[in-house]
Amino acid sequence: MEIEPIHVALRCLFCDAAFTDKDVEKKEPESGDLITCAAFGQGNDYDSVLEVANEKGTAEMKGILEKKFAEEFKKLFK
Amino acid sequence: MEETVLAILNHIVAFMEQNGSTRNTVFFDIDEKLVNEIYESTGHQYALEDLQKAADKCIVHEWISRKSISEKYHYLVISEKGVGIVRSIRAQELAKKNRKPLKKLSDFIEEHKGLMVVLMFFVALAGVFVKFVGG
Repeated sequence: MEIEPIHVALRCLFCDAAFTDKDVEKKEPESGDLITCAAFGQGNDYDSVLEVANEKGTAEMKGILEKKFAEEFKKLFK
Repeated sequence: MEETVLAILNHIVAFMEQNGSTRNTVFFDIDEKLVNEIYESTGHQYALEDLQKAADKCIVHEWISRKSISEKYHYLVISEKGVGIVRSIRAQELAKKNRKPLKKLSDFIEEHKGLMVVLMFFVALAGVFVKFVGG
């Protein structure tokens, strides 16, 4: 069973706009950094942005896996 | 960010910190009890209707979510995004507090661009006036 990787965009907690490379001053932000959303102008706690994206990605992957397992299960009884 | 929205989110995160609870175990209602609790902790007296409007906004932006289909403002939980909002605002306030004097001056100028233009205009006007009167 092959699962396609999913990509989850990092989004502003305040306005939900996706962050672009321009928004992030550092190439690789670290824990505790603030990244400012160009659209909303508010600093976002980098750890929280990651956690929200992680939660969203996990939920999305859970849905994909459930669908895949259901398909595989059906195949067993064909 | 609206004050009432922040009041709700801040209150819930403060409650979590005081009781060592995670966000999934803290349920709350938007009612008179919450109005009183926020008043006791912040000293701000908000109207219940204002907090309900703020809760609507929080639900739309997924900062809080409903865990019950009964009453609209009953059995609510704060989301990861909602906790992130509080963390972001706290981190920003801390960063603002720890700025160096030069950075504070630079930010002040940045925030008051219009005022600076007016000030520069008057300085230039004064310069021209002095030049004519003095000359």
